[in-house]
Amino acid sequence: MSGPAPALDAMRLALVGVPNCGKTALFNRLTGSRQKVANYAGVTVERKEGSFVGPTRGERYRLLDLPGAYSLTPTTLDEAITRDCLLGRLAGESAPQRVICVVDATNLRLNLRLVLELHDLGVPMIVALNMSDLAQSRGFGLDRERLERELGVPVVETVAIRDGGERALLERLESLPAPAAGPTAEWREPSFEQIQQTQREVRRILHAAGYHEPARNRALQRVDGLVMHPVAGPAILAALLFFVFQAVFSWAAVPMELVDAGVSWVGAKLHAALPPGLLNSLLVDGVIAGAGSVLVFLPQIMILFFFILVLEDSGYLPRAAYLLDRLMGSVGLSGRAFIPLLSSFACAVPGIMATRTIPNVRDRLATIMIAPLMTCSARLPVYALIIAAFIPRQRVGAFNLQGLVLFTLYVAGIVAAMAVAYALKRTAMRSSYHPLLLELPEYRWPDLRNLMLGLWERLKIFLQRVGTIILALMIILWFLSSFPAPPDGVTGPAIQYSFAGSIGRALEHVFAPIGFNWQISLALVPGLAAREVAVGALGTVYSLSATGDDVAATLVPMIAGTWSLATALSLLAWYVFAPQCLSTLVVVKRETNSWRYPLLMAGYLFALAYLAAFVTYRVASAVLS
Amino acid sequence: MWQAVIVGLIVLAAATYAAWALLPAALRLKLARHLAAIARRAGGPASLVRFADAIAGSALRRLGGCSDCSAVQAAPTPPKGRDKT
Repeated sequence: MSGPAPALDAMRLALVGVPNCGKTALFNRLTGSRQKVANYAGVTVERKEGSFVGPTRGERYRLLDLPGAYSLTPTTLDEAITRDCLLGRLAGESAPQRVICVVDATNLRLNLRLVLELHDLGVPMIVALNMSDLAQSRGFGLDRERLERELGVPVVETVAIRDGGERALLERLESLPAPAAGPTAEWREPSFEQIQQTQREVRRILHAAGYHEPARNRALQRVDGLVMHPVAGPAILAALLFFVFQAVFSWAAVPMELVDAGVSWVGAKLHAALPPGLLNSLLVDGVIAGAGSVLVFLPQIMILFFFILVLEDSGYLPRAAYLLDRLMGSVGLSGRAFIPLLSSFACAVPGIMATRTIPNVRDRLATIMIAPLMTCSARLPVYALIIAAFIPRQRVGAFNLQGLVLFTLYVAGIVAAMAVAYALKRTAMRSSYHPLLLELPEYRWPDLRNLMLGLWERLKIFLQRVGTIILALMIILWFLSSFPAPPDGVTGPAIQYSFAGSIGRALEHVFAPIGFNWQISLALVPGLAAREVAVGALGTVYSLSATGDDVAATLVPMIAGTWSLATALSLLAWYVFAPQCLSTLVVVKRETNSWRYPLLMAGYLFALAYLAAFVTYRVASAVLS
Repeated sequence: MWQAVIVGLIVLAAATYAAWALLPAALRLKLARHLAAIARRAGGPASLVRFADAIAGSALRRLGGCSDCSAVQAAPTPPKGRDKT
């Protein structure tokens, strides 16, 4: 929720429209919120709420942003949420008093069917002709006033991504009298004939309103011909991804060194300024060595998200979905699984929620089960730490070797996901193939404001995690690693005699066959809260294990000097499958209404992770010895 | 001695926060609302009631279950009569 707190008498508004017409961008513009927007369908899969105050009359509005729907007849769970919300069927949620139906001015043929359905329902409505600037610049023709007369509802032009692009909508909203709540007619699922009749009415209205579409830009047609070519298309996609992972390592090197130097400097200053004792150890070994070692990976995460945001905003991602549909189909997955799986590269939680757009229950379950195998951003610090410690920073031909290894790890996650999907779809989750129907948005230059907002959000989220849950867990780990005090006369590091030392040694029995020492085994436990916490935990544990001058050394040289290469490779293999993420398991429980699937997921991921790490460790040990 | 007291308080605060943050979202919301109701019934100072309400509001906003993504900031409400999957 954003903006001022909604008063009880605030007018209830709802934003509806077909997917990718700019509803969420308009929601953000009206409420000052920063919900995720992207140039593809299916970004919003649940209702979101915000509020704002009218600029002239000061009236308060409560605004709901509903998932995109092509019509009121739902084919997916998210479309059902939209219909039920509009009809007042959601528990504890009365029907909106007025609907703002957002339509894409460059795609009115597809958008007007929903407008007519809402109109038939008697819902008080304003039509927001969004992206009207784009429509004009591309040569679309439309008489807005005539369209307003034909539809019988107010029609205003909006440009949701521009400052002031909502002004006409706000003025019109304030000039209208307060409507009665909810729809006045009862909704019934339309018959095939009624749908055809609606389509005819759409064509008649558009003709009457002087609507005409320009011929498609030839240059863009040529780009599409290349990007979606059966041979060149996948090659371009692979090259793009390859470039992204190269950049993650090459471009991040300098800023990472700066952050690392900053963290070490703060640690050294604190160490020198505070008298020796508990507080000194807590701040230097717990807070700085723990949370600081996670902070170092911020530049890499920012670079990765920069590329993801650029690809999202440009309209390329739905093309990638189209290219990968054949691959998805070959393992039995629906092409609609692409967007949820892509979202899982940021975090599996929104990816799993995005599976609501998949109509078939078994397809949806299979997609949920493989979503955690996509390499989420929380794994990046773990990968980057081990790669930096064990893979030399050298070039292989034109390529950076570290980037090459990172790319391989991401590919390994994708291949594992496809293999698991193949197994699931041929056994427990068998279903027929559903062809992919996907609307391809026009290409556009990424909007700088969207890009900066997206990066700012990622920065805030990362820093918030480091400053809250990661910091708290590091402090607890420091306590467990520092108490009880070692017995008198012992010479080894105190941590070996602590609670954490005991836990680590107990776990070591389980993980020794895959090459993990007690420090790694211990780091996996707080990593359950969030995978990147394992890096901070290693920072704290190794900082407390070190003696003398080693305290000031950073984590990378420490693990490079203590682990074997086989152990490092085994840990990388473990993290390709790593089952530890409580948030993911909780969301799977919520989305499937059952504990069966999260337990099944945790079990199969743990088994795969252990098996992969075991094979990697044994093979690497044999080869390297 | 003073160092031990400060460190003890920091560790206690960290443990309380971690336990709260890692609770299942629905249970966290239930507890937060319960705390707010107790604060109101007890007729404590207005600042305490506001604090309890703020905790409940924060728990509601975080009901998505994961702070890692801007796409899960709002409280999801499953549709009435939703089919079991």
